[in-house]
Amino acid sequence: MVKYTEDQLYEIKDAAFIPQPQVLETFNQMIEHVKEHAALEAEKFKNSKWNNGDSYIDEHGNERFYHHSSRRRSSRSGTKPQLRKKPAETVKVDDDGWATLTKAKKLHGAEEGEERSKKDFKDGTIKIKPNNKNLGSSKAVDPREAIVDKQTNTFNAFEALGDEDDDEDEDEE
Amino acid sequence: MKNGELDGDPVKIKKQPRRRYTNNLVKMSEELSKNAEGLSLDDKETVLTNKTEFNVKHPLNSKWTLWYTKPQVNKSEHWHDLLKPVITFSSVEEFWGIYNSIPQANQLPLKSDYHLFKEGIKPEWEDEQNSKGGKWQYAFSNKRDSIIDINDLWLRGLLSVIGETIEDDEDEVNGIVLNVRKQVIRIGLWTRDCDEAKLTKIGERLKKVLKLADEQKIDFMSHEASGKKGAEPLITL
Repeated sequence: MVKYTEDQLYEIKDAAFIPQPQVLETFNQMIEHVKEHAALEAEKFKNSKWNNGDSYIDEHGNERFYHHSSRRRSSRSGTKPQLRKKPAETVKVDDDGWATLTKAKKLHGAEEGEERSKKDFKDGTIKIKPNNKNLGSSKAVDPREAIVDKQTNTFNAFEALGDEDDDEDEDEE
Repeated sequence: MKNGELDGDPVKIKKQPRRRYTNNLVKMSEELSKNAEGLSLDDKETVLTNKTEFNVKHPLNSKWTLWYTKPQVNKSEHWHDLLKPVITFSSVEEFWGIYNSIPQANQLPLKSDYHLFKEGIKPEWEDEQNSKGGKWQYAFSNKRDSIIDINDLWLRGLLSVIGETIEDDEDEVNGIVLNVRKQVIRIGLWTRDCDEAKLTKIGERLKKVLKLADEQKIDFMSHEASGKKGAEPLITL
């Protein structure tokens, strides 16, 4: 088996011989074209991704694009999007023929809520809506449990074994 | 009139060069395949055929074929269209002639691969002589290993393979591969099978060839396992 060490191979470097120059020429041309194609694609990608199409001429006379990093925040424009839906205005005509513009009643307004709670106080019924968002359990709390301090009877084995008698004695004394 | 035509159809003007470009590449690629088809060193003069006038003085133990994977420039191109045999050689002189005439490792476009395989072996897992084997591989990060000279390491790899000093007489090594990618440059050594005893010795030599430190680990992965998700390397050195 013929083997060549790295040093032995380097010694023969000067005797290089190109077996088929035309094949290698075609190969090199192909690689050059691939490189040019890649460069074009990279340029195209760069332009499409990093600018909004606006350009200016710099101090050296080159055309430069405004990049996204130099774009101002949209909040600087001072106009914020209106996310809340405006209540629809209705025209109400009274008996005298006066027309007035009225807004539709809020369903969850604070004022209305206050009115409702005052009314409930008068009626003697209080509805408590517990805020269970900070509770450990994800299970909704029953509002009745929140109001009534429920008495619970638990089974005590010591009591069941005759402590009751002692208690009774003490009471009698 | 001509100006009017140009102004009226800007899309055509943009598209034309790219189409011409792709056509050129396809034509060149076909030309390369055609040239490589008739490629054989059987009719070349060697020290064995002509003792007085010959170009080849140092025949190699095996004939080697250089393959190239071209990056995809057109979506219609498949893997088989992209992988091309470039040239076959069988002597040290021819190796140097070819090596000096082709782009160096760091001059290749991204997503390119060089493969140097023994003649008759395709650089694919499916090839009968590769199917039961695997590869030793190390990935040089373009950021982390920016100081390394990839041209030198790739050449050292090539020399160890054609000189067949990477192995003893096992005939275990099928070829060597260079992958040029955006983040990393990988060098892989493809083997015929997965015999751990033989592979460990080859792996240790590859580490020396690639000038890797002890903490820089190389992995051996069988081709069969490479296709599976989350597969572990068979050996790590």
